[in-house]
Amino acid sequence: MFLILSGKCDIIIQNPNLTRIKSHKKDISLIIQLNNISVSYGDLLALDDLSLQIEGGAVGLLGPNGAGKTTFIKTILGLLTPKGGSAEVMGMDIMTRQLDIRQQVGYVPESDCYITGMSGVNFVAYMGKLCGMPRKDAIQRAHEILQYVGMTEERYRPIETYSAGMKQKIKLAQALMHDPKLLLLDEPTTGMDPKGRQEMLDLVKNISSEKNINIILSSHLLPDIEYTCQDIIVLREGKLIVKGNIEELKSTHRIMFEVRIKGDRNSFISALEANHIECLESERELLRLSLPDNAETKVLFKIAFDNGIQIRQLMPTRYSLEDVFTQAVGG
Amino acid sequence: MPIHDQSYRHWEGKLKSHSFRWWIIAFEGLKVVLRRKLFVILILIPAVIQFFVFGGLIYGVNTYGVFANFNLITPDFFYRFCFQQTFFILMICVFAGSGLIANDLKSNALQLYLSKPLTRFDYIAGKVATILIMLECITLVPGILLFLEHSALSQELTFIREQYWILGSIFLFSLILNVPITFLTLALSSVTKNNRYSAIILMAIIIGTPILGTLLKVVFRANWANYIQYWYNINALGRNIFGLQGDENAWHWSAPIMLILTIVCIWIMYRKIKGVEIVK
Repeated sequence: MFLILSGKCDIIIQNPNLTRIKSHKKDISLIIQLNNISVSYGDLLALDDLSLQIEGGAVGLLGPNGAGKTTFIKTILGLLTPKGGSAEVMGMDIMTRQLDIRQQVGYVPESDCYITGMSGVNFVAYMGKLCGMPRKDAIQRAHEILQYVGMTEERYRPIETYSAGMKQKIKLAQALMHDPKLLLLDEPTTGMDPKGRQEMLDLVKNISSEKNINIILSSHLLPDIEYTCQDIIVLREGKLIVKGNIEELKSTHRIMFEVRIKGDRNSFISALEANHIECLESERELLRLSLPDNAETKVLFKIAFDNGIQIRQLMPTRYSLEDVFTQAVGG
Repeated sequence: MPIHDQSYRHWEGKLKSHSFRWWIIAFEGLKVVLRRKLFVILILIPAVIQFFVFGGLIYGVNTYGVFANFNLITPDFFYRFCFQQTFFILMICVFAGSGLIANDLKSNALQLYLSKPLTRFDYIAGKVATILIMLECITLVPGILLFLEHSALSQELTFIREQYWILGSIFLFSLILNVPITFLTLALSSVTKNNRYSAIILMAIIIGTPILGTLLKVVFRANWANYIQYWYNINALGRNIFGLQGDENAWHWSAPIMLILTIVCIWIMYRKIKGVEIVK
């Protein structure tokens, strides 16, 4: 073993054959291109004539239950065969080059999955060997990756004894073993406590922003997506509903106000809608209103006055990802 | 400047060829099985002891003239050695084979395997190799060693000259003994997430079919009932391969029956082993 010290880089390479620093530049060209893809389970159409282009970076995949998020991920991995259409992942056809795609893609499944009778480090090394890594490299990298995901102490324990949070981390570790260019994460924070969830999100964010690995994160948890991703894709019933940059989606929407009222709530909402003011969500007395671009707040007071309603609080608010999502899925 | 970066580092090593990915699965499977001490002590070691008993007989016959009046080392001797390993073959399949796929189904490991650059063929070939290697190690390998031992100890070359075909018979019979039961074990393992159920069904087929066949033979007084028995078919094929006395025409039925059984088992595995479980 010998050491190389570089003035430009603060990493010491212990074995040049094993770990050379790769200029893993994030590919900003298309990583996924779907053209009229349809996937069905029997009569149930899970992806319906879906056409979509995804560029590099961190992309959040949103949608209500049964929207087709997991089907989308499994289709681009080649685990499901489309009924129609065509798709490419990093320029490789999903029908003819499935193994090449899987060589470049890491997958963190939603459900608990592991191989019984193995310790954490053996499991991760085994996954690396299945990707074609030589035995020695796989074992050394397994230790490194487990250290990176914060499982230094637990790596020699049998996986069956791991907590839900540890199992999520080991799934992430196995997906990173072969140094993928694209990481697919399906609900990676499921079953984790707040601390573990934050650690996982920090890891995902670090992988995407610092390590230049493209990610697609499917989650029900909007804060998770907002924290880790720049772009979102919203699916509903297998169709694309919204796609774009999160900040742009939030900023392109109209002015929002939180309004607390006293009086007949339903008649007020009806009157607002008649004046093209959208009521996005409401608690008992608190409403979130989206005003048209040129509208002023005095119109709210006028509507309230006309309907015998008291406005007790009026506060400008930010248009959140939740608002984008709620509006998109029509919730 | 840190002396060692503990963060994520990109890897740019050379990947191995795809052709032998199945071997990684087989090797790991063998490692897991051989770590089970009870399995090794109660099943593998007795199977090896059987080999030493037969090896001792060959040594005794050739060196001390034990049983000199009997022509002991004949094709029947090698056939008997292989056939007597069937108990250990069954035990290996029950205790080591029945959980090979069932455990992966139980822990959802299939989607991990198939999300890697692996085909279903690689996965199945790896699991088949895990069992087959163990079974061949207690049938084919010792069978050949016994043949070589006798060839080396006998004073003349007539044995090798006249009986060289026994080597081929040992090879063929070990395949007939091991291949159908390997696929049967794995097919049963792929239909349930509980390895105990697959072990029980395997035992029921292997031990139950002789009982059922015998009962049907008594009731109907018909020879076709013999072909229901798993071991009858194996025995019929084995005796034909070693040129021993028995029902000479039995293999006409036994061979297609074992072939169909193997094909059905492969079909079941291909149906059941998928990266996506569709819940209806």
